[in-house]
Amino acid sequence: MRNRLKVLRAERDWSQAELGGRLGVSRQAVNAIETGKYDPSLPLAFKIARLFAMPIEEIFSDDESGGGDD
Amino acid sequence: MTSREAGMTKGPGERAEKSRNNRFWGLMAGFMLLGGVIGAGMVVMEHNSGVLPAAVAIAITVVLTLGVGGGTWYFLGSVDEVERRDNYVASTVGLNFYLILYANWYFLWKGAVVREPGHEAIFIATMIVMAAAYFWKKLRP
Repeated sequence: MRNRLKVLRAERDWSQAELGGRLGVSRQAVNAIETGKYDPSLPLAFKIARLFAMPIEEIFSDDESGGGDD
Repeated sequence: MTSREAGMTKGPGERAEKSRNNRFWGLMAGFMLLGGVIGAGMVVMEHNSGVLPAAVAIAITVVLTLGVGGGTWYFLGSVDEVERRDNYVASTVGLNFYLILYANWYFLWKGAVVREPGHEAIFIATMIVMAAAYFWKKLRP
């Protein structure tokens, strides 16, 4: 799973800790999601989408759907 | 935190994260204190030629049950899903290690191949394996 969390966070000039606090998760959790080490649960993904006021699929994309050949 | 991160917006999120972090380390300190209580109990036992006074034994079981049971319940309810995942993985690895080690040692003992299972050795080895699994999950690049 890939995501645009780091870009969206940088656009708002938020640190990982700031984003983590707004989501109710740790800075380490934000880092794990941004670096692709952890895929968030559906409730957390919805929370992220609500925070950035975007649909989930504009933030997260499936590895298999990113190549454009399917 | 990078120098770029240090210059970023410090808002309500940072304060909430700091408070969450303080709670986490408070709980960690509590678990470490509990470990100290167990260690102290073992020192008392060693000084009494392997026998633990009944009152100390009962006190330890009460502290352990309330501390580990209540502490774990509160801990899992207050940490985020990544921390919970790391704990679940470490617990599963630890439980499997314990089942394999104890069961094998037990049957080999029953078959008169080895001496009786060493309870302390199994307990300590399980704790070490569980901690290793936790830190591997948490800190791997």
